[in-house]
Amino acid sequence: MNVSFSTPVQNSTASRLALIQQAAARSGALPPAGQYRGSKLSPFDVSQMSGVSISMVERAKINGPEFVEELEWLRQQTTSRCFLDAEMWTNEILAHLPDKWCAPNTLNLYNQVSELVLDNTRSPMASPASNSLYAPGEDQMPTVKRNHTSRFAQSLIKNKEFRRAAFFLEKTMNGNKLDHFLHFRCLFLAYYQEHLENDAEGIERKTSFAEERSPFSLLYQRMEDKKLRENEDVWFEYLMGLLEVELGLKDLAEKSFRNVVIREPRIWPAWEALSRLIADIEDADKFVTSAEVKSLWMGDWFMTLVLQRFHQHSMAIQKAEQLVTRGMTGLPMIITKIAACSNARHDHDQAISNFEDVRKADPYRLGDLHLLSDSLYIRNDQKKLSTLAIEVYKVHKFRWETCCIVANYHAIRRDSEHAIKFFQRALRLNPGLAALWVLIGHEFMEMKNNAAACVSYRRAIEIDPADHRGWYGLGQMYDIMKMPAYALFYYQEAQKCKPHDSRLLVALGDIYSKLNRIEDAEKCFTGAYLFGDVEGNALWSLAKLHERYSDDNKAAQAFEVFLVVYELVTSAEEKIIYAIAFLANHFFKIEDFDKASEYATKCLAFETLCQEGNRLFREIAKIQARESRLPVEEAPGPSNASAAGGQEAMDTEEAPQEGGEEEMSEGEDDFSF
Amino acid sequence: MPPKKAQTRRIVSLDSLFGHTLLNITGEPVTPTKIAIFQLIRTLFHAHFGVGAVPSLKPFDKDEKTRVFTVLYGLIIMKSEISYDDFRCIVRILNDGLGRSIYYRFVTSMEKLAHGEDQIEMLFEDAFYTAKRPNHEKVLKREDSWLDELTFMNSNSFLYIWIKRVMMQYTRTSQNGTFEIAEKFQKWIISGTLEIISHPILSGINRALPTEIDCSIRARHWCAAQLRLVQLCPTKAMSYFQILDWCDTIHRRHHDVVDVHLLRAAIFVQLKNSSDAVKSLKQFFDMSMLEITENSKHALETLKLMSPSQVALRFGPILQGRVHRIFGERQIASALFAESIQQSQVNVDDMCNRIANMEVTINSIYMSGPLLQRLSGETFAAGKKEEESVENERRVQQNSVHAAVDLNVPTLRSLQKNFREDYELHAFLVSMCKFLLCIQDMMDGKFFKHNSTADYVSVGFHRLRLLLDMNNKGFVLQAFANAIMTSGLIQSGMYHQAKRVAETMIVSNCDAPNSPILETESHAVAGVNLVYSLAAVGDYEKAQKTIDILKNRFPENINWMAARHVDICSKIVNFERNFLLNKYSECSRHLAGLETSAPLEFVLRKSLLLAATGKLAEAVLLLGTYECGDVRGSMRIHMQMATIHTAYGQFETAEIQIQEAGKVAVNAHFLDANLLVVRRVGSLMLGRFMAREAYQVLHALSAKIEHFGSFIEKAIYHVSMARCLRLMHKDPRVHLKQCKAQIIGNKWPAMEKLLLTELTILHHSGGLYPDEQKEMKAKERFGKIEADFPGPCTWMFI
Repeated sequence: MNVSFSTPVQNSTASRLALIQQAAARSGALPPAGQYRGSKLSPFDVSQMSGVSISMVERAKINGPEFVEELEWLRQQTTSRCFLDAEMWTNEILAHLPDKWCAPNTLNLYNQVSELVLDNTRSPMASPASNSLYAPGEDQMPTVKRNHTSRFAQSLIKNKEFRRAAFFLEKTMNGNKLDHFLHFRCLFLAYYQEHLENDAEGIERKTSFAEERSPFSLLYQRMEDKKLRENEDVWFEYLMGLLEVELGLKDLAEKSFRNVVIREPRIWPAWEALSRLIADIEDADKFVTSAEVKSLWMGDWFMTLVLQRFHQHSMAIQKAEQLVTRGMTGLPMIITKIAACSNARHDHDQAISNFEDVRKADPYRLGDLHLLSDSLYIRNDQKKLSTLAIEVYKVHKFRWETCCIVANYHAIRRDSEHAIKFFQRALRLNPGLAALWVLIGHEFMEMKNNAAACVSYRRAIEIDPADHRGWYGLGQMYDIMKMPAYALFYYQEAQKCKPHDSRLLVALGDIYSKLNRIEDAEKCFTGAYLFGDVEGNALWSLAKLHERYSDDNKAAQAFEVFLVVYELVTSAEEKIIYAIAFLANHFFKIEDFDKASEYATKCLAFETLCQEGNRLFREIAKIQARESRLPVEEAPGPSNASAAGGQEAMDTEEAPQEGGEEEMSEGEDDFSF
Repeated sequence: MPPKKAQTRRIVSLDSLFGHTLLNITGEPVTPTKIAIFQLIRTLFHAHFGVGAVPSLKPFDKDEKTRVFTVLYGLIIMKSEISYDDFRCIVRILNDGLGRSIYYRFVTSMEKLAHGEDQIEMLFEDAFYTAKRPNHEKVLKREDSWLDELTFMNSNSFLYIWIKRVMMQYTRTSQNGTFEIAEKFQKWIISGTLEIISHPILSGINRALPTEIDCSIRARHWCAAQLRLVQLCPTKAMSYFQILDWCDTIHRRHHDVVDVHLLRAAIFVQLKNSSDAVKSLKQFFDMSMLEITENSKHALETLKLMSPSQVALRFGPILQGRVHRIFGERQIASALFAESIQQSQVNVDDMCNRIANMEVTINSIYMSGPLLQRLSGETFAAGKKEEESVENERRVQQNSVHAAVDLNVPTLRSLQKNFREDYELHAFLVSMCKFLLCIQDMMDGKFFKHNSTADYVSVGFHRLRLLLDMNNKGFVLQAFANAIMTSGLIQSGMYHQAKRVAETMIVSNCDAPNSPILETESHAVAGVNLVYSLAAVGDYEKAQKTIDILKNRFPENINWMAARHVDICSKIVNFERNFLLNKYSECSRHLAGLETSAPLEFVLRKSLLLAATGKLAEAVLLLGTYECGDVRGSMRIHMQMATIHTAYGQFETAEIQIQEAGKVAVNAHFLDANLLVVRRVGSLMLGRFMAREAYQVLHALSAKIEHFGSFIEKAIYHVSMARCLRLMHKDPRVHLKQCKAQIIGNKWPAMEKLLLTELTILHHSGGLYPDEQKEMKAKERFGKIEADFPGPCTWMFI
């Protein structure tokens, strides 16, 4: 048996079956109901499939108090520094903390920390280190007034009056470390806000605004001049990283964020920013596992985000589930992420059930809910989708997630125009989301407006050239227009974006087979099966491909594997019937009577194939009877009668042309995947 | 009548979804000079028309108006900004001619703007647009009737449209932008110098760009111009990387200019980057699936401008196929062309159908290779393999080409379908079709037979000449035809004729205001053929000069498609030249690189070199294993084998080979085929010392050798004849003289030695014409040549 897995496999029939089952498990055809699909795969399997290997070390349970302490620190920091997003993120986790971690001793710690926090923010002299910040004679403002001013500035920030806040902070920044930071933070926010406001004037030509020397660069220069990167306050470096992102200096930004994480692993915002910048998974993994970074759990969560960004959804789910097993149960953030990844790998039942769990705990949480609507749409669950749409529309009319959900609701009712309208609204609210353009494209395809669909998909690609759905949509469109050669390019591009997606491979294989490029098609189908065939078409297509090009032996192999994998899947019955009929006749023709009768027996299980099975039994019996009557005669080769019988048998099938030499016998099948 | 109410159906508005088309267009960037021009126009308009309800008492007359508009047009077509001081000078000159205090009024209005007493207003009063007003009663009646009604400007004029474009851009400028414009303008007036406007307005959509691409219209124009230059005359185009740079800018700044992707694709083809070329092409066609509707009535009724267009579906595959064809992926190309045909038939687009069909033919013709050695070896082999699968399809589509040729008049249907498909394109297609038929006939070896091929071509050309040749399409096609003609002539040994055609073509290719010197592949081929014909008549000096010129004109890094012909040519000619001088190491240097670009030529020459250096077996093996799909190629291979065997005295094998060559030659249409083979038969016989028979054979060729022989052939012929005659004890001196005439100037020392040997034998005391003095002379000369070009004097019968 030639199997090109790198796993050493015993050369025996038993192991062959094991192999097939292994492949079936990967293809996801036989997941026991209610079980996580992802959890069935070993890390080895996953890395085999994706070609990426990361460390999947099982780590000990998370220490509750430590965990809480970490977050408490972050909460205090983000609150005092007005990182509102991060503050909310932290508080959400703390609010959903597992009960056992909310033990009294933790509470003590919390009090301790919060006192410290209050102390630190209110008085500039809290830590001895900050003494040095006072230059003699600078303290012109009375301490009380200064405290009032800085508190005023903080509330200004919360009310989004950044310039004003910066103005007041300028007065107090010399006396207070925190205000010093906040001053720069305010300027950054002010410029950012102005940048966005300017942007709104010309949505169509956003890029052209980036060409001038922006205030960001002036601020960056100023911070460089003051050597704030080397400041003992690590948040300065983080802020510079943010500036670098705005200035398009991705490499520098990545370096800054890495540095921040090394200096202070508890700063989650830096992790998050880094997850959007890091160049590849292995690099991220190396970074997380390196000795310099000491993090309790954020490294793992960071890896989850990175894996999701690179479309390694199975591994992302594994990473997330590891966190759950280590004790972080019931956190909406993690469950939503698992759901989103399940959605991306088309495990919609899983996604729906996870999203529903989250919604039970936190009904008004909108994050990633558009993916729930997507899963519901694909599962064609009109009832749930309309309930969802009504609920969210009542609460958050003008969030892009809501618009997306409502659009999906219209789409499921085949009201494409309304769907497009809402997708359009979602786009206005979040123009950087390529997926929305893809969905608009799909709706246009429904409306048979190819041209508009085409331009929509193009828009998706323009926003994110690595979005496989845009390319795939274009390919599909041209494919529908019966232009396979023209569509080929798009499928190839799609496949480049997501090399291990079986659906893309199957589509590519179909195109190749339309263009008579058989070897290429074969490679694609085989690859699709090995990478875990999501839709279950790969084997079938492979078998049909070989059948079409009269390579019956190979077709039979593929059909056999197909049967092993899909025999119990009810939705594939028609294909199963076809496969059984083909195999029974094929083995009869090549005179492998044992196998022929095995498949003839299987024929009997189906009403439509009953007669065919009986006929084959009769033929086999005839031949065997003749052979036993003439045991001395030399040639037991094909007699005229059997050949004629075989010919008849083929009438029900598309008759394979050649006689077929005895190449295969049981247990020696040549699996050349 | 009240305006008809706009009807809006409940359909998805593509305009708002994909960005309103108008929103995407960039108009004339607003600069201080332009604002000043607006002020000037307003001043002039008031002078002519009057202010508000008060009509002017002194409207401009015809001459004055001419003067006004000359200045205005001069100002708007100016590419650079000018300073306020200069601008005032211009207005003052205008004032000198016209009076009416134009200068005073203009400067007053500008000063008001500068000091904030007035606002920048890029609009005119309504009267400007209605633009008609009866004359004031006090205005003197003049004899000209056209003055009865006053007009200022025609709404179809360039100036009017220009004004609209500036206005549009100003209206679309953001609040930020208008503030900035106002500031810059004020500074411009107050300072009166140009310094501050070197970067007129820096931010957003008003940021300064090179003038050629600073608004959508000019960007489009620039793209079209560069696209044409890149294809026809690459050395005149901007450098490729600069073009790509500008393309990038245009792509970011002018979302409506999708042409930029097409230009990019063309550049990538020139840079031999096929994948990016295809990528850009796809982008172009995908983006152009939505276009501005041509149905203005519908647009007015629905207030919608965008409409879907299926053109991309039809022409996309054609262009992509072309790219694949250029890079030798013939099968993919042919599948794509088939798809285009299918689409054009579904959409009843005759023109596209024809173009696609023609591309199919070109694909099959180019790729079967026999006509010219213009393919790389790899593709040639690949082409052979795929031949069969495509053959069938090709035949089917061939019929359509023949059908298209019959359509001498553009069908009504094809012109109605899309009125942009003009007559010119149609005529071009018809000519091209005819021409392709002609090439096919040449490939089938029947182009000298009497049929209608020649008529096809002449009719096609005739039609082309009748046309207004806007984009040099006709000229390009003509060049193509002529280039193929030169190749055909050379193949038949008509070197002088080929030379003349090529020369004519090169001479007539000159720079004209609307058409640059063409640097297409056809011109390279013609140039190369000129070199070949020069080399064939022995004029190596000129040939080398021509090669140098060609190398300059078709540089490898700019025009690789043309440069490869020049490269092959230079190698072949230099090989030949050095080979005749017995410089074998030089020869092998020239052969390097030829293997992939011209495999047949490589095999022939390599084997020659091997044989000349004594490696007979290797040479024969090389020749024997080469699979040649070309008639002339296989003939040459057999002849070469025969020659090599003859030289080594293996006459039986040589005879077999020469018979094979003869079989090919009998069926070939080349005029020199017979000559080439029979001359070698003669040499073979002479080699066996069958002088009389050889003489009989060779004598019959005397007329043909003059017409179709290269100088090498001629020299060998004459020296063979001389030897025959000597052996038959007849006077060979005429032939010796003619042989001498061919190889004058140390071109072929080996042959000259042979000649001198003959001469010595002739004048030897035992010879036919004993003459001691002449014998001595010949011997002396022999010695001199031997000293200059040492080497044996075998290898005369090539």
